[in-house]
Amino acid sequence: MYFSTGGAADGTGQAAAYEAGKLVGIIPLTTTTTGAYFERNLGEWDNKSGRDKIVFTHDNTTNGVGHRCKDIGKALAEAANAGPHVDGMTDVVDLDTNVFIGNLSFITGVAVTLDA
Amino acid sequence: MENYLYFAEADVETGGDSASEAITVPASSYLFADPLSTTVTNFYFKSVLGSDYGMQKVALTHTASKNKEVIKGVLACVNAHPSKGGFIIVANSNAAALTTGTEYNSVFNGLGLSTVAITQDETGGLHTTNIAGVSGGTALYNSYGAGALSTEVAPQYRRQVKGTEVITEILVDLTGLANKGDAANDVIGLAAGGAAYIGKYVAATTGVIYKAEIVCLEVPGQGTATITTDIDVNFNASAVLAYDGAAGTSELNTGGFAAIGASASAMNTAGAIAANNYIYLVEGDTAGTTGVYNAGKLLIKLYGTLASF
Repeated sequence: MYFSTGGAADGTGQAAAYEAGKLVGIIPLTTTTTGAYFERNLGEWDNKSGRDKIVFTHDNTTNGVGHRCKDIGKALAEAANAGPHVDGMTDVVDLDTNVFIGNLSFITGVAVTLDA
Repeated sequence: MENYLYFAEADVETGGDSASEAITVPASSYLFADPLSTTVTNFYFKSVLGSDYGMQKVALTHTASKNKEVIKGVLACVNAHPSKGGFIIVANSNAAALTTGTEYNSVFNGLGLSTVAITQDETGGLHTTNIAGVSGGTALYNSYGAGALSTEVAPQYRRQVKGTEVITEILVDLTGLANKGDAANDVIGLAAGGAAYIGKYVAATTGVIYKAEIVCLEVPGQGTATITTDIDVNFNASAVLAYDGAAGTSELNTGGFAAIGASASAMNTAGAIAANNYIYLVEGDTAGTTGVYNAGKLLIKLYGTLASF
């Protein structure tokens, strides 16, 4: 699963790609942000407790259709279960090219935090 | 293929590191079920935030004595054949979402599912990531007043539960806060005003506090006018004390912070640190004169024990 912040993906933290099986959960952070967490396992010596975090910025729909964390959870579940195609990489949110999986076009920002 | 399970509380607005109000987790994160009472069954999942945070707990409230049926229903969701992308709404109590409302999986039909509560079950080690505080809050231990908001960083919190032992940590930055200097035990906070408490003694989460410590991580620095480096900690029933407010005798008298690592501690021998007290930084002397800090980081550690017998 590939994410980019719109910063041209040519510097650390401007994009990230994770194996689908590393996705450990999605939770709302504020009314307009949702976090997706990925296991950060640096090797056999690592305790597997580390996390990388992708924070999505979006509109506030908490009193309408409900918090966007539900839409994002659904889209990431679909991305995680997508059959490998072309090169096996699924663009989830790529703000460099404005490519979104599913209905995630409501996302206006992506931030990558390594070792969150 | 993997199923992803969705749970939501009645009002989904925020979450973050201390109180998620909704969660999507892979089915493989499922750990176990625990029937808490006749009407509540707890389900545990691996922590989203990392194992240092313990486990993610989802409590489902249901018709009395339907625990086994509810457990069977959740496991049916865990093991359902992935379809429609593998995203399964297990229990969505989000009534505040006006156009969708509550959604409970059909496996719970007839079981009276009514409430979803999502919490971190903190059985692991100390949080390695700081927990954000709640500005203006008065319910949680990690509440702070607007008058305690440093211009550098807001108060941060960490918490560890080991058995019945609880260690609560409050990290406070002094930058931008001020001392008046006309009397000892007056509150340190923003000169502009606003309640300046930095935390709250909430026995349900902090445990019964029997000891308090403070450690200097960065020596308090003088920005404008004259500051004091003698800073004490006061536990007070009032939630509205602000800059220059008289807090009375302090429970943790430090003697001041002239160097990194300087520390002080106090046992709660007389019970002066009382449940529901708000925690304030106060002037330990009268050395300051309308001073504003431009540096200074303090760590307050509260030791408590859970009263669960």
